[in-house]
Amino acid sequence: MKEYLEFRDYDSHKFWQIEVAGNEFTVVYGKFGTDGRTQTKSFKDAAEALKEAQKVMKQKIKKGYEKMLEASPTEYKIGDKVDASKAYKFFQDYDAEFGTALDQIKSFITQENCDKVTKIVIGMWGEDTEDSPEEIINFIIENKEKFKAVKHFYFGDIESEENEISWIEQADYENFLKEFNTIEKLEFRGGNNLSIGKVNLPNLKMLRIETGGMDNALVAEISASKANMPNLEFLELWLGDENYGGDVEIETIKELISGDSFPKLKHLGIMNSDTQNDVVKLFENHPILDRLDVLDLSMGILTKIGGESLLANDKLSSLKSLNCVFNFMPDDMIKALTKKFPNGDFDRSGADYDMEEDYWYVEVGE
Amino acid sequence: MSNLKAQTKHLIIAPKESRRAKFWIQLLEQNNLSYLHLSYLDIISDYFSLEKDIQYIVRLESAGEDFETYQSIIHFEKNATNQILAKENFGELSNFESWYIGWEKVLKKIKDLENIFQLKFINEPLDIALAFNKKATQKLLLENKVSCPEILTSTSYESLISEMKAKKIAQVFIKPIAGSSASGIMAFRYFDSEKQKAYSTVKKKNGNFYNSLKVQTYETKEAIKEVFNEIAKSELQIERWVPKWQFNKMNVDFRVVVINKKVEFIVPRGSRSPITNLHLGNQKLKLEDLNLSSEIIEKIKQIALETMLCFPGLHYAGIDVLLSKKAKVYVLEVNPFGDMLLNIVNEKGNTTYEQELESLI
Repeated sequence: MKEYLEFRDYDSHKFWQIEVAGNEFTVVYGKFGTDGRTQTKSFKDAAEALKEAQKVMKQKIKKGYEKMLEASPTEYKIGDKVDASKAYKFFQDYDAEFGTALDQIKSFITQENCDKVTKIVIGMWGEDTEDSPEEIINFIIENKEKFKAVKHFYFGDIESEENEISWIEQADYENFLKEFNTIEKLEFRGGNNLSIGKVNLPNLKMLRIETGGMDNALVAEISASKANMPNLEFLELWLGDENYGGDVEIETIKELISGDSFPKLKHLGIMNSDTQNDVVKLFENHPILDRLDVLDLSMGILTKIGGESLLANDKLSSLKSLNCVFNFMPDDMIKALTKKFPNGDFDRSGADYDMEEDYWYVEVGE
Repeated sequence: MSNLKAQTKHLIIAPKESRRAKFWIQLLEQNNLSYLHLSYLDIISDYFSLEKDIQYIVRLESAGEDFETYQSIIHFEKNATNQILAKENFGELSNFESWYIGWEKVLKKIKDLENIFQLKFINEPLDIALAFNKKATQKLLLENKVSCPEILTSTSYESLISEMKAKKIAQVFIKPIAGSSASGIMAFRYFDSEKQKAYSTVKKKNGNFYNSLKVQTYETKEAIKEVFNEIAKSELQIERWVPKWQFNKMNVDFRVVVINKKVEFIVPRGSRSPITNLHLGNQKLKLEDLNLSSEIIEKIKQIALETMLCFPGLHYAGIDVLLSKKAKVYVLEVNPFGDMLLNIVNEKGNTTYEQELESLI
């Protein structure tokens, strides 16, 4: 087990990393950007080390630390000098004083070392919620020399206080991905008009798309290009809700995970779906489980029907982690699942079936 | 007359079952201080007796959470004592304005008792009335250069849409000018006529509109307009919905309790919904857990103190402060009864009530 967590507010920015090896775990922690301090603890066996590690990690999360895939970005202010070791985020605040995301990027590319930055995050693109990121994408393409070191792009880091996830206007990234075909990580939030076209991304390790309602066509595009993403290790798709434009068909997901493609895939999340039960059923003794460490089926409308499928799916035991957090399963089923799959997390996490309205919902749709 | 110092006694005006009153009374008893507890009903019906040679230290408490009080305040406005409100209509939205006008009248009546009796108000009734009026409060704050979210002036749904478009404001809060807590509030986002969304505490039940404890969502023009029109039966306060700073994926704002010109308590409140209010089952957080810089905490304190300077008649109040994603601070509300923080003590180990009593001596 290895986890990297960060705690962040305006000025304080700390990291905390834990790694379990045998009967020991090692924690590295400190101020973000420093090497931090290292502490190792030993236990009587590996199982206890793992258990203790998970316990301290939960405590950290309770205190507000968040699991990060990697370092979180610095918000770029117009005129700021660029530090090549940092990731940068550009976003339009409601307060015009700070400029548009594009204004910020225009300033960024005039700074020394901008062409050494490896991670770029784009948040709210315009002052209007109906703006699309097209202008920004084109600007980055036109100035691609300034972004030649970027290995990780995230388009749409927009929080619920800023816009509905289901309203975020995306764009067609086909040309962009042709120009930046050596990137390793790609993230999107928001699914409206999102398209990647036919891609060839030989180095891509991570693809994450968070939506409140995903287009079937988008999943079909990914599926059609899967042979061109041979190094993909992490794939996460938030399918969302039919009411927010989600129309992903189960057959399309079936096709996506079929065969030998994504040979290096370790982490797969097909989640936040209003048809989560059907998604769960797709994985019944599925061969892809043999190469996965993590399967994430969380955040969707997972009910008793899906729970029965999980219980019957012995192959899930081979996973390192099975995430079903946020679900609508009954207590006795959660108990049975917890017993059968010690590698699983079946916390209902606030999912609350509305008896009065007879209403289930995905965790992030609105 | 004896030449001894005039005798003093505490007077508390609050509904008989008021939790807030009980906390205060308990403290007075612990300190062997004599007191008298009158209800707003007593005041409205003139059913009380005070002594002219006693100086009363008067504490007014929220008139909320009590149906009979609510009913008489509404009737006090209407001067019609016989109309009976059905109990299930408690919290019905259409009575909002009547309640506020009645409430102002009650406060004025209490203030006027000063002409007959020796009253020393901890919080002055007229300042309480002012703080209950969001529009007047905001005007006062802006005149004194205290930041508040930008105001929109529309009064109808249609004009609001045009105003939002013209000002390029994508999201707003709509509130009755005299609401307290989260009553009658709507958080509204507009994209186009097909895509709009409102989060509100207002819920329709059997053809009438009530405050719900659960945040409702509305997604069609018809449904949103219906709720808007209902809230708009009272005068409206519409302001820009400034995205709140987030912590642990929760939207956070701050309840700052100022007592005797000092910031004594800062309680961050976290919520996953846009409406951050303790009554709605959201989470109280600990300031130290947020790890905010001292510079930001100072900004929060400063704006709360500046706000209190605009209300010289308030000895204490709870100020709601918003922190934006780019570290700007704004005042959202001034709550003259915003000091009920359960199980929270300040640096000296005092509860809000203990600190208030201490500050009087």
